[in-house]
Amino acid sequence: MEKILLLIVIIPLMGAIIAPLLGQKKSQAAFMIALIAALLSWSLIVFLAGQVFSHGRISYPLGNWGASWGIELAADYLTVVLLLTVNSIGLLITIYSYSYIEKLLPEAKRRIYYYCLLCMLLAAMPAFLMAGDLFTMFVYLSLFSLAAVALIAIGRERQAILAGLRYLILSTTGGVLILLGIALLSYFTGTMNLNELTKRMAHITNVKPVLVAISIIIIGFGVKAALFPLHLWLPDAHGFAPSPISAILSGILIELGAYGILRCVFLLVQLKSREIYPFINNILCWMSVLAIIYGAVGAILQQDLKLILAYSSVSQIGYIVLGIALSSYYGLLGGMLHIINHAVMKSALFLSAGALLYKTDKRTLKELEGVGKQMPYSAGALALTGIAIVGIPPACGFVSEWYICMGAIQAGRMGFAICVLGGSFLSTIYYLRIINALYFKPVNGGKDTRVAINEAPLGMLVPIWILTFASLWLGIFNRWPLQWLEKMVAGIL
Amino acid sequence: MEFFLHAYYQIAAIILFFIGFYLLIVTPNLIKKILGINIMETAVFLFLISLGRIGGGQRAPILHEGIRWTECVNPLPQHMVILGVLMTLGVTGFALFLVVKIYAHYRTLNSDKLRRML
Repeated sequence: MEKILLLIVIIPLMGAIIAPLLGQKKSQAAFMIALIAALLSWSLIVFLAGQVFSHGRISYPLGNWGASWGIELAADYLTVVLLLTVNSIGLLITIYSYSYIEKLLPEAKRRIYYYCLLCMLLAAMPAFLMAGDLFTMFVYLSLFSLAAVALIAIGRERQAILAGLRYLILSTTGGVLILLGIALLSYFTGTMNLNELTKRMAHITNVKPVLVAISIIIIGFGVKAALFPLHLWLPDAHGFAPSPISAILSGILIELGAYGILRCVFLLVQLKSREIYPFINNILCWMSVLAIIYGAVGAILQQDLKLILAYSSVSQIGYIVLGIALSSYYGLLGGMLHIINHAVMKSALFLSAGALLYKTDKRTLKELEGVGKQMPYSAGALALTGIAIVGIPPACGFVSEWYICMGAIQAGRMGFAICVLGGSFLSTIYYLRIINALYFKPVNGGKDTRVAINEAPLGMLVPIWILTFASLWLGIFNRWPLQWLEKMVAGIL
Repeated sequence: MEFFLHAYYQIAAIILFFIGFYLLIVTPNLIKKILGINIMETAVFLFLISLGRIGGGQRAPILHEGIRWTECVNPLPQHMVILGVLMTLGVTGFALFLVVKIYAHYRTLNSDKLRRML
């Protein structure tokens, strides 16, 4: 039963090995392998989720070493909810990739590499979520960063390689900082296992070095999460990567960085009564508030549709980290919920922006004027998920932003609640700019008003609309993720 | 003074770390930046290795009759360092490959000039 945890990692890794072998003759075979691997690991995760929801935490120590010495894979409520989100999006993106990559990479050889790397990502992302100790987290973090760099650089444009190298240098620096922090933490506490660390935190006598170690780890994860002063790699990487990869980068990878920060904050919360704790907490809160404002303003100033979405990611990561850093009951709940919500809505937005790019080969808002009439389904999905980013009630963004506001009030920080509302207001502006360009501008400069409908293929529309409905569904029926997250937060505080 | 005598590994690691960090931030040359990352990683590995000396012992951790655990090193940091070295190798190789591609296209390795071209 516990071995499922291992299978979830191994099946896509096997896919990464088999896909280039079978893909030599026909590149469609590589796509089929990636699809089968994603489907298998997704169904295993659904089964695992059923088990965890009925029996509680499941853990598997590799090689039968005890949990505090060896490598441990574990799944608790938070992990399982995130696993379901991450792998469902991964599966949909694999389906979407087929048509998009066919056009982007005409050579069959490059397509095979693409699917091989996609399988590696699909193996490393769940493994990172399931890792029970910090060092295993670091190993899988390095694996998916490397795969992501290769996928950013795979495109035809030369700038993509430069953006990839920039991400590689910054994320490796972040990785080194994480490793340094882990080494310090294990030196002062004697263990790397997250559960064991949480237990030992309460009995630590010398608090300052432990806090320094945790802060270093948080800075490292902040680079991966593109938290405000550390976000420099994000706009280029999102802009030049192929659209399915932008969706993975923005929808999943930076959320995984936020998940790392979340795990560190779980450790920090145990030290809540010590005197130096509020200092670190305040810095994290202010960084995320600056991220909210900076990202939204940056998005307003951009012309390129994908860059607008990229800067909006910087702003949304600010919301997530603010909720987590407030570490009040509603704040933590809102932060966790926003991880899921942002993953769903931002991947839907990037996929539909990718569909526009696929059909029209146009990137800026000026060029995309009036595309809403030409591609009603893709542009409609973009408009519908956009209301989730702004946080208008029926969509999912509203719920988590509401919880983060409540968390700020609960922690006694009215100023931060106002900042959250201000960020929401700013995001209305860039959302309305997109809507204005897509629907309310004349087509072809007003000369020819009749437009033929020219839609993206069905293999791209189906994933987009599943994600769009998911973002609305999560807004209305949000009891389902919330009941498990509430149990998780109650166990921590 | 006694502290410096006891913790010379750690102090060397910290100095190395900042040399690497300086190189990463200050030089515009891409290959030197990658070198800087390598030096930083080496510093962290040195630090990790130095954590393995639990009781001051320096023997290989093979326990048999007559040897106490305080005479041996802790094998756990060493296993982590080996994994870390492998990962550094992969990252460095891949980064240098990207640098070769960039040089073939832009004919420069200066990151300030490259940023203006982007």
